[in-house]
Amino acid sequence: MNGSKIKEEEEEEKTLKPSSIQLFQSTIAKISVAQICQSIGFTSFQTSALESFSNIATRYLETLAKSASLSANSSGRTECNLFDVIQAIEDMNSIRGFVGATNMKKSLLKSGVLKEIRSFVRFVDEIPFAKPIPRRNLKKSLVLSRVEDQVQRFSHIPAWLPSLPDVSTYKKIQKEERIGFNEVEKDRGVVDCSVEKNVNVEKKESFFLPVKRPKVKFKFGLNSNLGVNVELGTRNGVCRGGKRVSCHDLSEEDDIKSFKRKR
Amino acid sequence: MNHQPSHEGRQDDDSALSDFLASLMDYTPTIPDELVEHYVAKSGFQCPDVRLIRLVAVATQKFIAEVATDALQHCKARQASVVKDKRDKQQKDKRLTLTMEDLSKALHEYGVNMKHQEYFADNPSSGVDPVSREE
Repeated sequence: MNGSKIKEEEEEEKTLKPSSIQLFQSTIAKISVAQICQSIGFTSFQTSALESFSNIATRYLETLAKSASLSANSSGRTECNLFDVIQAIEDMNSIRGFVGATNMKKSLLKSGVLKEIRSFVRFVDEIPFAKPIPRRNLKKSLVLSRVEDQVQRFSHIPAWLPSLPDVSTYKKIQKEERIGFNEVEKDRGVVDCSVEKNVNVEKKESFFLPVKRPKVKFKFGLNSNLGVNVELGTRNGVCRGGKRVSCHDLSEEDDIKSFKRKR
Repeated sequence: MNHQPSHEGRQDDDSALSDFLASLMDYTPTIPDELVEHYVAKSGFQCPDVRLIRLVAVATQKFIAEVATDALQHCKARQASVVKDKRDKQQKDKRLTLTMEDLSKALHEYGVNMKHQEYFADNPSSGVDPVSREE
């Protein structure tokens, strides 16, 4: 019984419904919006009004972030900086207008919007959120794994690229040398990493697919022999006794190639 | 014609700005950092700096506060116009309620067109309210 209970709990954690996550987010947003409204002088609210207001607030937040990241991306960066954020805030405020919006040559640091925000921070009382929110540990593990990746990374690969595939896909285990795309980079003179230099012999072979690969199995149903149309992917008793083909070694392919050439 | 800022002015600006950003470290916006980070990450905003997250949070808070203030003004104005006729109702309706009507009016000025049902039965009392019926 215990085991099954634990399993159930695990499943519950895994299938933490997106709706419940959304509910959590929207509830937090609602609470903070309600706090702000209360600080301004409202004493009560219609449920629908609060819901739509918090929805609009989160949309505002998302739009702001989107436009900031867009301006960062368009100038060739992945991380946003202060200027992107100010630009985004100005964009969001441009509907109503703000002081100094007419002067296009003004530095962003002098932006009227920023001044407004500054005075807002100065004059409006600080109302911290009602309750501390637990952070998920997921982020920590993510960061850790990233750091581990970075250790294995080479200096010339930018951090934002996804990590290389598993080592076994491009590295011979017995002979310690890299083949595959690292080799390509070496030819271009990009690599400054610790690739051993006795590669000259095998350089021409380097464009082969990786040597170690998982086995690939094919199964042919008997029914094709019988001339009966059976849908693919049905693996029921009818298919039993099908022919099994597995290819696992490059050397075989080489043999075949050479055989073909001889012919 | 002279658009170029003087060097001193720029330095002043820079120092004021960095002071402001530093003050954000101590300032806790009402919208919690966690929520902001979540939504911001969802839309592709990548930034390790807490101050910028705070800046985004403060900007959003300012937006909410402004809209709420406008809604409050609408609410007060509406109440004031109604209450003249019915003094006895004044006691009942004295509390300030954030309604869809005021909110959509306030949001309209900010470029948000919010359409809402004329009659929204989320609450048994919402249909009975004579004040909102009058309009």
